[in-house]
Amino acid sequence: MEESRREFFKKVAGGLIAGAAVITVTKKADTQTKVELPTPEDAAKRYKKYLAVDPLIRMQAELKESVKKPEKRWIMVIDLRKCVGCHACTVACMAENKLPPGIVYRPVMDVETGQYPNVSRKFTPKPCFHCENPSCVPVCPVGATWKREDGIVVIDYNKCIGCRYCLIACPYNVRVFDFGYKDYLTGFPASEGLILGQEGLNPFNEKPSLEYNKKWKREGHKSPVSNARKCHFCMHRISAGMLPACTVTCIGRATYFGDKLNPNSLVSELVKKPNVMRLRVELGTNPQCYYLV
Amino acid sequence: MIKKIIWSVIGLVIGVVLLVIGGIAFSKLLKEGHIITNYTSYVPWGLGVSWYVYLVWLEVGTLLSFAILVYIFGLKHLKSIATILYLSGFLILTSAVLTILMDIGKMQKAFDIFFKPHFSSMIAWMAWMHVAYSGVVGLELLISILANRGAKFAIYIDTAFGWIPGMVSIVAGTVLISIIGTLFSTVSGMAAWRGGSLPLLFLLSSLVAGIALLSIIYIAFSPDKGTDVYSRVVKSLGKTTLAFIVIAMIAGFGVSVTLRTSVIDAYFSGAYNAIWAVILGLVIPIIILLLQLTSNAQKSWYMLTAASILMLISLWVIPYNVIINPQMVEPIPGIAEAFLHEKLTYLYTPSRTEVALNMLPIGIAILGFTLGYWILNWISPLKPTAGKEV
Repeated sequence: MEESRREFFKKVAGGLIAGAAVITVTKKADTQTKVELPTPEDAAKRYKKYLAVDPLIRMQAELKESVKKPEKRWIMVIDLRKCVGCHACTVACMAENKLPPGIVYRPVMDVETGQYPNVSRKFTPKPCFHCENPSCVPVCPVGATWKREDGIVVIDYNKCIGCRYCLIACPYNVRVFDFGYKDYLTGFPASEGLILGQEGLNPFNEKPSLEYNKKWKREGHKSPVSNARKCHFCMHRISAGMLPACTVTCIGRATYFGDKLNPNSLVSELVKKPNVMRLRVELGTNPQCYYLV
Repeated sequence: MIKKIIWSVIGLVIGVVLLVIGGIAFSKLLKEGHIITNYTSYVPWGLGVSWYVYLVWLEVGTLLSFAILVYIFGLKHLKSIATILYLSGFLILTSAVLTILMDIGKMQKAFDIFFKPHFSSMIAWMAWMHVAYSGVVGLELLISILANRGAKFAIYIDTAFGWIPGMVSIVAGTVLISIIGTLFSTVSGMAAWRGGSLPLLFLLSSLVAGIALLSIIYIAFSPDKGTDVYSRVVKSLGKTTLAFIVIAMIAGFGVSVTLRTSVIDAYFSGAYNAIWAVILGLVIPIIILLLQLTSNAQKSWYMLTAASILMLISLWVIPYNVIINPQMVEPIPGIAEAFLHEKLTYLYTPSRTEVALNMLPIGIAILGFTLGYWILNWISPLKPTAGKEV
């Protein structure tokens, strides 16, 4: 059947209109994806407000302010949603306090829940909780452990007799006993260059720990060998105006540290959130390490 | 006499062997520290602590049963073995102290408990009470020796005021056992220990273990052997042992009704199954002692000896399981896998060195007892009470 002239013109006109529309849309899309990259100066201006609220910078400033105050109460808040289970805090703590084998102040618990395929992993760092009513303190037969005014539960290594009653009394198992292991390479053949990092370990083993603002060199059976040990919120760092090693090392900014008595502090803000949780509160210990879940 | 010499030689040999084995382990402890033990940061109290508790149970139970039988039930003939009993008591208390001293990380600082005490700690109270109780037992030993030797003032004290140290011994022993029980029951984080039942169970268990030792000491050392008095006392001891076991089992059952099944599981699980301790140390002795009620004099002491030995060698499992097994339960899931190290686990079985270490105080006690027995025989021999007004 022969096509009429009118129908022919209709088709041509429709084609022209569609083509014009496609060209217009493409042009519009081209203009939308075009991004102007900021200059370094512009970027600094634009992201200033975000940089200002980096928790580490804020906490550092707050800590310096609180250290000077006569009344303060150090607490820790850990955001479990941000913890990726990298164990960097555990390692940082060990390096900071020169911890020998068998001693850990801040293990990260890794619990798998659910059933395949609906499974998930929950990471929970476990420092000392520096409880308001610490069950480890009254049990010490010689008064070698106590809660300081600033909330930190401390151990006097020179007083501790190593009876381990505090280890038994702590419902969170945060206290550990120093069995006197010397270094990480005891028992390995002394073959230089064969064990990665061997050269670096000797200075690590020889350097004294600076816990409680004293130098503790590992020699024979001298304290802290055969003593109870635990996290002390890096007291020596706090007194120097620095945040605890675990806090500054956290790659996900999941650990927060600060003064609970400062109403404007970040930790004070965080503990007021509704998603705050603490471990084994039913025991009445009133732990001062809060988890955000 | 020859029998005595043979038994003494056996005692000396056993004592020396244990002393040598324990001495080697002790030198290792001094050199290498507590690495040689198998307890961990999560199971911090192991064989040493449970062994201390068992020794105190034995000792306090023996003297408590003795005081109850003599001063409350009037079984005065038992007093014939008083010096031996006090000697064994003093030595067991001393070996218990040595056991716990070796378990302390810094044993050289242990005396700080007396000089820099912390009044809220049950360990401090336990140490003071232990020393006070040892003093009471030592004093009783001294009075008993002097009275046996005929010292007038000692005889006067023993006859006129003998009940006072007896009562002091009952009170002090009860307090010491209760403090040890409270030391565990006040640990809020440990559900298996929490509550008031533990001190009561410790006291009853102590009576059961103690009367077994008392029976063995009476059977072995009574100067009234072969007399009617001896047979009567042996029968009475059998009946009392039976009564103590039945009371302890009823109380134990009563307490177990109030406990959670997980706690009972904890007590009856582990390396040394407590069910065997119950069967060997309580059920079989009950059967033997029931048979003893109708047996003749000769069989009677055999049966009591068999029942008592079974009790003594099985009941140590009870403090072991009660103290160690609850520690082997993770309080928060994930701790054991959080950081891997042999001293950061919830698994515990005593190491061979640890077992050897605990042989040292036993060796010292056996040697001390063998030598002390001869010295007592020399300075203050036991006097028969059969046919005498006591």
